[in-house]
Amino acid sequence: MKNKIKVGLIASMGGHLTELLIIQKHFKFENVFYVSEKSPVIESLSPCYTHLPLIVHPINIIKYLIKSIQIVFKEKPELLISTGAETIIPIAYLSKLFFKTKIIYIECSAQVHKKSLTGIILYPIADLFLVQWKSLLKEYGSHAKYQGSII
Amino acid sequence: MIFVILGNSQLSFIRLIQLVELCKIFQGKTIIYQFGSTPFDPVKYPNSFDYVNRNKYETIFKQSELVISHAGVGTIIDAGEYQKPLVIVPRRKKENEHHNDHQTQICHELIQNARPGIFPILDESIFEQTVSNALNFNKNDNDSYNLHRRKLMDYLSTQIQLWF
Repeated sequence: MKNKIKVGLIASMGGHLTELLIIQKHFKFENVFYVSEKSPVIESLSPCYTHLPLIVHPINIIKYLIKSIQIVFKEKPELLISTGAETIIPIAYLSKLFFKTKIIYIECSAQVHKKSLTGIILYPIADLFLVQWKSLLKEYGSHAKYQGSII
Repeated sequence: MIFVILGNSQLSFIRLIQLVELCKIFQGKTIIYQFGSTPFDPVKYPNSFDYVNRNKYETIFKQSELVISHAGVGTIIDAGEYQKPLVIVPRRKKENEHHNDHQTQICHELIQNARPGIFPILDESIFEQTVSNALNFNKNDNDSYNLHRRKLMDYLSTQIQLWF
């Protein structure tokens, strides 16, 4: 593996972030940046970019879109890994468009039978699209794979 | 010591407290609750709390002989990390314990694709028997923990090496 690939680790707070941090605990990527909602867990990591929850106020979405542009052009990620949810959406599309970034999307293990909205939006551009339960495979198309799960 | 984690989905989970308190097997054992969003009487439960910081949580988790919990993803992952036997009881939508039934779905999946050390309960009548099985779980069988996680990490690793 090429040394020190630039990796963006991106997830919303709660279970999404817990799962993402398990992945980082395993891989120990060195040249890394984090994006999540503001929470004590993410603020202990560096470098990190945080935003306010997007569902609550539409103005937060606009602010986050602007911030996403800044993050993508500053960090120029080569690889993005996300376990959802909506935090990843703008960064994934911008990175793919401008830097041909490789994207790994792993549907959170709380999604057992039902697709998530973020999963549906990321499906077309993810280079690797994984679900954590076999029962979800038939809901997505052949692009989705099951290769184990964090639980 | 038994650690009982009720979870924090803004809704109460009194059913799990009742199940634990009816269990004769716990007589003489210390039970610590993390009540989360479930209201409780601090006089009746002096060792328990609503939340604690991550360090204290981790210490209690590691010191416990058994953890009993709602079927939240975070707790199930923690049990794998700390290699503790875990009994999980799903919060149900119809009991107004959660907004949806994903915890029940996770339990169904974990029954079909069993994880060593994880004991899902869909039928409350087997609670005490399951707790007894979990207490007798062979904790030395560490290799069997996190089998599915290792599979996923190996696959990711291979894929990333192909790209870079």
